[in-house]
Amino acid sequence: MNNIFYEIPNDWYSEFNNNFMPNMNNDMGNMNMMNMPNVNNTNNMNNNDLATPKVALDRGNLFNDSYDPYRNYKYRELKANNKKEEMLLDILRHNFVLTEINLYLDVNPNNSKMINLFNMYLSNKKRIVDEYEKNFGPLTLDGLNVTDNNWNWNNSPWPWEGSK
Amino acid sequence: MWKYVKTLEYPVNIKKKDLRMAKYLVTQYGGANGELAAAWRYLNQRYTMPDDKGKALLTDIGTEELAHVEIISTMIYQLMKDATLDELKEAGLDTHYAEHGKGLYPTDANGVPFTVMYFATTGDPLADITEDMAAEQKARAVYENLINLTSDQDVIDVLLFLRQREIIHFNRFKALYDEYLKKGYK
Repeated sequence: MNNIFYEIPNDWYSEFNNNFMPNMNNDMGNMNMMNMPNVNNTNNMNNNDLATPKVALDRGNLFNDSYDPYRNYKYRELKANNKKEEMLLDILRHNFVLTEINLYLDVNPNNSKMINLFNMYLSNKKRIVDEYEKNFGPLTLDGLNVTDNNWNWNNSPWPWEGSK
Repeated sequence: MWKYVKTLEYPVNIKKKDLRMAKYLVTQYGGANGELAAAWRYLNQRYTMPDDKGKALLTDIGTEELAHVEIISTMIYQLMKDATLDELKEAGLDTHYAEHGKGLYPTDANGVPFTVMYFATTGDPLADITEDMAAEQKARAVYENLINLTSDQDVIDVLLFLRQREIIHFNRFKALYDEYLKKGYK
């Protein structure tokens, strides 16, 4: 299936992503929490500071300057086993990036670049969620297809049941 | 209001039963530095934030913490669901079973039930946000302790994700704190 992230211009992403081969033996110097990024400067954020949605969800952090690995642990690259999981993973990536940009904009509300990015991911997300719900059932009650005769909101699996 | 989205924020698929780990992990559900305390700390403090930035940030981070409550609960459920009574006894979870069967219950790792004493609200934005920053750091430290206690990659992956969220939340609270300090909010 098409990777919708390719619609984001390449220059939104940093070289970080193209060359991302972390050397796990060199991570110890980055552990000190006092080395937090200068939060006062984040309004000057440029595109090189952001990870791709894939990397962002995998590691739990969209912002390269604040990503802080623990010891020599490497985050997992999340993989999908089928079409349903692949679409759901796309949705999770979008949800996650939107959460990250949301929290950022809460304290930096005038960053127009981040607002544009939010809008772009949001419109992509709406499209994927719509396609997912048509094929695999609702993710929210808003996604119920009211023309259906059967109530499919209560179909398993529930999120805590995992994928078999 | 809140709406339920029928997916986790980050996928959890733990294949191996591990009752000891379930017993430790529960502290991030119902312990002093856990996700339930975090969610309610922020969602309770937000009403008296002095401007829109604070009201928005505490609402949105509080909301994400609810998703983390669900992730931690999911991990405990998956680690415990196939346990036999003998295995529960051996792991010291027979006392949990006596009270709750195989159901979930928010306690810390010592079985002490969740209490709102785990968080404070002073109504003073600088004091409250300082507590929030400390809470994120303490939760990060607990996640590191938990990572050290397991070798199950399925568990570690999720804990690494949650740990990273503490770092982001800390940064956002710190930005808000610095701005409020500068503005002289009291």
